[in-house]
Amino acid sequence: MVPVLLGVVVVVFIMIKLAPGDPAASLLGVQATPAELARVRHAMGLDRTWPEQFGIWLAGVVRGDLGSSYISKKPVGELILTRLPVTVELAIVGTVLAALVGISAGVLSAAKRYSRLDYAITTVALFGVSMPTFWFGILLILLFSLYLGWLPASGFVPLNKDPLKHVQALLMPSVALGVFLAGSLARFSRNSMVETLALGYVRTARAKGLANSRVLWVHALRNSLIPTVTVLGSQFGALLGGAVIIEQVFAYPGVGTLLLTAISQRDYPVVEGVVLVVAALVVLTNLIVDVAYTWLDPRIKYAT
Amino acid sequence: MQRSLAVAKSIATTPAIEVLSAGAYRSQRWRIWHRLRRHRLALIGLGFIALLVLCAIAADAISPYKPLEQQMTQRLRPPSAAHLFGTDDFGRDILSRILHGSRISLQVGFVAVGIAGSIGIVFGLLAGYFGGWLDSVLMRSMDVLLAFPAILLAVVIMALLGPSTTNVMIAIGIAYIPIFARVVRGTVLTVKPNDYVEAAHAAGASELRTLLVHILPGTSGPIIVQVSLALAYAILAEAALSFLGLGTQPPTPTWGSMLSFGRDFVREAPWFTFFPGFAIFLTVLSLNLVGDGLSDALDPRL
Repeated sequence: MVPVLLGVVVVVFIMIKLAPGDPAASLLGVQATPAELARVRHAMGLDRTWPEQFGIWLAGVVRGDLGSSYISKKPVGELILTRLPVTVELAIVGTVLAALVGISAGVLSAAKRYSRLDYAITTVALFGVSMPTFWFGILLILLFSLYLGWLPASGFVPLNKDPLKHVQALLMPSVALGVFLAGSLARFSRNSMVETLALGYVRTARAKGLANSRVLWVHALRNSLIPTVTVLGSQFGALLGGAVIIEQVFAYPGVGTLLLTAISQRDYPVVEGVVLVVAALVVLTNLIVDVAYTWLDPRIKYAT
Repeated sequence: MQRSLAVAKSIATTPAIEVLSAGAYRSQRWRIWHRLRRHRLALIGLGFIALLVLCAIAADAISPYKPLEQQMTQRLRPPSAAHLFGTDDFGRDILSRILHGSRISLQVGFVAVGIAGSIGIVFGLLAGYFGGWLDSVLMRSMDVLLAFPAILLAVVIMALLGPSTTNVMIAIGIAYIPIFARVVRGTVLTVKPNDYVEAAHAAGASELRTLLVHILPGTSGPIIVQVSLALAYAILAEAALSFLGLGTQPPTPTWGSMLSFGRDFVREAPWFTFFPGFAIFLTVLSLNLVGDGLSDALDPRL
């Protein structure tokens, strides 16, 4: 995990260096005099060597100092912290919905293999993995907001302001975000369950006279979950990325919106901060997935 | 989004895909093609993709209107005999724009997968074959790349390079390198211990020759499957970047940008967003069907 995090930090630093324009000029604006520019460049450490700059920047990152926005002049860390909970909530709710629907559908599909239900589920799952999420989001708005009038078309309501409206506003974006994951989880858990159900211990459990539902949901499910958890873990990071697009569709004020606004304003410190924080979250999720493996399969042990 | 899934999928499916020796490859190829031919859905997918390629090539000849031709008296018209998919806010024919938009989608898809594939395959071959520090360095680099969600990585690369079709290809290509590197490395590790590789060495074949002539053909099965899936992902990613305004710039029609502009008229002209989105959906669905068919055809257990 540490080498990957270090790699992430190096990549983001290279991005900073590749970003077009002079950071000092961006901070001061077009009317800055050469003397002012030189002073700010010195204060920002831009006149030092790259390794020195990297060291200073890394020390700042470790302390949580990600620099300041060129536009609002606010600390990047603060800007991200106010937006991150919105995106993380969206991604978590999307993941949970997708896991509940996808895994249940996959298990049912495997249990009723080659039935009409199986064909229906596999077809819907295939549609799910082929659906552009932003298009699906627009179709949801069209149906549930514009035609039926059940849910708000866009916007975000803070939880402490109105919990019900918060959930209503969260529903469509999280469903749109989770549709791809639900489809892929259904496909994976079906295949994995089909393989597990063919194993000897499942036959033994059935021979012992256990109820079919117990064999399926208790005995077989846990074993068949390992490949599914790989997908789930790897996709959480992808969902954070997908949130960038979904937030645009539903006018949601998360880090995706922050990122795209920063890109359009060439506010590179914010761009780099968002990328760094999201990548760190992805690495952290992968660590959690590794821990989940040991719970699912106690035979897996990691060297400490 | 789909890149990390492809990696997870590759880990889960690589051993199930038949790994062919160089000699057996040619004769096996016919068997795989024969199996694929029986996979009706994959053939439908393949047929649609072939049709789409033809439409992209012949877009100028078969489009009922010019894609940029504005008829302000025909703004936001619903589908009719004159305009099968309706018109947009500038009175442009949506069908003609979708036909022309397929060019960008397919071009970006093929070139991005070409970039990702050629670099990823080289990385995977080197990492799997030579192992040791080279393997560690290359695969850790891929892990670092994978820590950035694909679409986020592409968005940031576009922000640094500036919006253009070429840059979209580069951005998506870079984001999908790890898929190929991981799949190829995994397959090389299963091919390498084979006797025929050792025999090639004993017969005096150089490392390069062993790698290119004896190992590379053995990895072709998993690569072919990944190409069809990566194409689907690349087309989705291109549409997403265009949707965000970071891809090919207007007035050039792209499916993603049409969706983005249509969003403002979703109440009065739902066809404006429906048809471009449906085009993306059908294309990705077809590529997924081909990918599924290829996975099945290459799975020795079936």
